[in-house]
Amino acid sequence: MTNAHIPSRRPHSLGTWFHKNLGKIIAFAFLMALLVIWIMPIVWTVLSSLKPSSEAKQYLKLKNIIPITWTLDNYAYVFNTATTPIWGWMRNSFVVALSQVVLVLFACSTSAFAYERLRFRGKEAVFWAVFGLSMFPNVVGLVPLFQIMNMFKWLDKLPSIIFPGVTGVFNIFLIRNFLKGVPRELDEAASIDGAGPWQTYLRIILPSLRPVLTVVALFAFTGAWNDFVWPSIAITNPKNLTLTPGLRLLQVSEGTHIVRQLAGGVLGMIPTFLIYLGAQKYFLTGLNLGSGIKG
Amino acid sequence: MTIQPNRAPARSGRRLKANLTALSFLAPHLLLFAVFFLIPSVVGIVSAFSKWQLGKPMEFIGLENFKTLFFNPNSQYYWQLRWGLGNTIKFVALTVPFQIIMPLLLAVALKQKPFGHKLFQSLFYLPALLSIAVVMLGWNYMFNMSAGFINQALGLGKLNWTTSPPHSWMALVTITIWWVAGGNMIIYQSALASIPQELYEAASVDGANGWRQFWHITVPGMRYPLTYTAITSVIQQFGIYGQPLMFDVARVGGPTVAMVNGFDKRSYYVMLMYIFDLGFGRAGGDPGMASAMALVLGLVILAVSVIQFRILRANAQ
Repeated sequence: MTNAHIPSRRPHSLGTWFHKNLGKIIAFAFLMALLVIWIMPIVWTVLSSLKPSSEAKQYLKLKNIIPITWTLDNYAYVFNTATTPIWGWMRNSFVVALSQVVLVLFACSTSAFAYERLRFRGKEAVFWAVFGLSMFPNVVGLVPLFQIMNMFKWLDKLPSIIFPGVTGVFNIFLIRNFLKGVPRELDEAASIDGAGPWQTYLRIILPSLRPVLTVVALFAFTGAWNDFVWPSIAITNPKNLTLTPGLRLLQVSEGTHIVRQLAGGVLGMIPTFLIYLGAQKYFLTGLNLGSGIKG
Repeated sequence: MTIQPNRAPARSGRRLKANLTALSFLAPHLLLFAVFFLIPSVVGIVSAFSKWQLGKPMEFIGLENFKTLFFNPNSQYYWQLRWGLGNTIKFVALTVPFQIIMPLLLAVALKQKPFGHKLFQSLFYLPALLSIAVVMLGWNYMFNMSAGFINQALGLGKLNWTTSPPHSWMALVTITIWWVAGGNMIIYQSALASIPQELYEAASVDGANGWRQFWHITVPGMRYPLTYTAITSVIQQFGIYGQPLMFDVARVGGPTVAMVNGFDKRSYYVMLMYIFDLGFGRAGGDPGMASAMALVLGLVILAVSVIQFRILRANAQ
């Protein structure tokens, strides 16, 4: 047994530990202090939606974040009013969101496949032209889009919301970058076996794109669910609205009963929240999948 | 490349086939892109030079709309352009700096990997996943005069956040930052992770403290994401609409702060609100004029983005 000095795991003193971990300690204090303020709006909204209206209107002490009386009345009300048909809104939101997910996954993956794996004239030119054109502010096209929807007779109907949401180019970029990391040998093996491009796409490419497609699907769903501006414009009949523009209607019609507005708000949060709970890592690190936005 | 016998006919046949195949893959997106983005944008530009009512054909009137917008103080549109652009630009200027600094601080703090950093990250990102409608309903109550959390927690009595300009602006900016900071935070986190640790270690050895390390290693090392997010954040905030719309149901766009020529100037009525009022089917609306306003807004956004890009790229050299 030698006398070699083995560094002990315990720091020699509290002072040393403090000095070594100063960064972490400061970071923790900062984040903790900010966190309390940060989550308060959500906590406050959820808890207040469970209060009776009378309680929520008074100037109470701070400890009354937590309801004195717990009640589900607000939710019952919101589900049962004719002026604000929330069930219908939620159903519409689901239809729109799921449709957009399917469209986006299909249109963006086929395009990414074409740009990355197929060879054709003017490939890069088309890609960058589309990318460049998409940079043009979309506000200019909104009024004509309304007119076009009128022409299609889609105004006040769900297709008028579904299709305009699928024009984005960023997803193609994301999938294409990811595809760069998928070995071409797979494609080549398939074509040697006699597979045409569409079969290669379906059998080889799509499965290997699963991680990035999951990210794209999640963001597409959330984006569709949360979309506020365009659905407010395209749909005027309250029965055909989706949930988020519908909440504005709820705000106007329940001006005196804030707690009912909050109940609606919570309903608007739930699907996104559930998805987030289950698939956080895709939201938090998904954009990094092969993306080139590095320092 | 091996020498092939002259196969011109077969080769052009193959090339045609390759092009058609590619087209079949590109068609879904390109079709949607053309019909729902490109064509409307082109029509938007054309209609800015027209008089147009919903359902009726366009009447080309040249620069009339723009003459009104820029030179006719008797028209409400002249004032709406100035007030709307003014408010929108003010929002951008107030919001974007915080939309970069706050997430940067968060990302740097998270990089230290303190206890619970994964949970912190999840929670700080969460607001970015909410719809603006949900955000506004919750925050309206936070800022509620009589029973809101903010007045209670800060002991502000019955401060009415919706009626006085400085307060309403503060509220709207705060809400916006809360909502969007998570997005940039994620981008900065991944950028920070790719700065080599050795640079920091070498700097420590040389005696540089945290602050100097931040300015001389971290910030330069992040210049691409910082530039990129600066531009995208500006573009995003130029589209501000939901926050001012839903902040005060009784007074959409805020209290009247001035009257000019009989038109009332609202505290935070933003450009997009004026454009939508005008463009969408209201009786007496003027979609041609709305397109003209939208074109002006679009050009301002483009100009600002280009200028930003030039400046930030020059600084990065």
